[in-house]
Amino acid sequence: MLVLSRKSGEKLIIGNEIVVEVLAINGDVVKLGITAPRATSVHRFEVFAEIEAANRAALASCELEREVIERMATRLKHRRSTP
Amino acid sequence: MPTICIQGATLSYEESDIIAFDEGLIGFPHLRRMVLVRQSDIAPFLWLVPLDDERLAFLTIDPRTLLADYASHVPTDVRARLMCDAEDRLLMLCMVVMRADPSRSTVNLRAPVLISARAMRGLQTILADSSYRVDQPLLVAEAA
Repeated sequence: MLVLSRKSGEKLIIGNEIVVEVLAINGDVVKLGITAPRATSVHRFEVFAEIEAANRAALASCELEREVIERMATRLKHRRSTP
Repeated sequence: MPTICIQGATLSYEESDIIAFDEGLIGFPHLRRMVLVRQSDIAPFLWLVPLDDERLAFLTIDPRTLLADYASHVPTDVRARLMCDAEDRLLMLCMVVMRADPSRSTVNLRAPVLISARAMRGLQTILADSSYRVDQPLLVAEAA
């Protein structure tokens, strides 16, 4: 891991286009400004980790008995047809 | 013709069925090529099947079959990432965690998969609206 020290107002650049600026430091909270191409998604890591865990959990569905999925499918179809 | 195996059933597909996921899925950056499998007995669920790991398959559902007004605006970066036009209709799917106990089955409404059928490209995005849950109970979502 690359470790850099930056002061408030200083920046760093990732690749040719992604700029991270330290906007403010208040106690143990660092406020960052990120400039990135529109096609680059930026998220808090906790959110990313939560989605990764959810994707991993979703994989278990294909190990289930077919009937369990069919039953839920029928239930959803039935509910949709009754207003 | 190449084949995939889902729950013991072998299905064939064509090259033109392959959807490119250039970024992979969140936490699974190596899953770059997918096919979508519709099976009438489990509709409205669909399988999103990665070709880069044949042991895997994701059960998905169009969230709008559960919530008609779900995420009416897709994030602005999505079309740029899919390299598709504003007119391209996007297919939206959410990952389902199915469990033997139906009341414990959930759907991930926070991070939908979006697919341009014209471009045959897809991605998974994270919605900024955190009121959508990662683990929304499927039946509650349906009843809402």
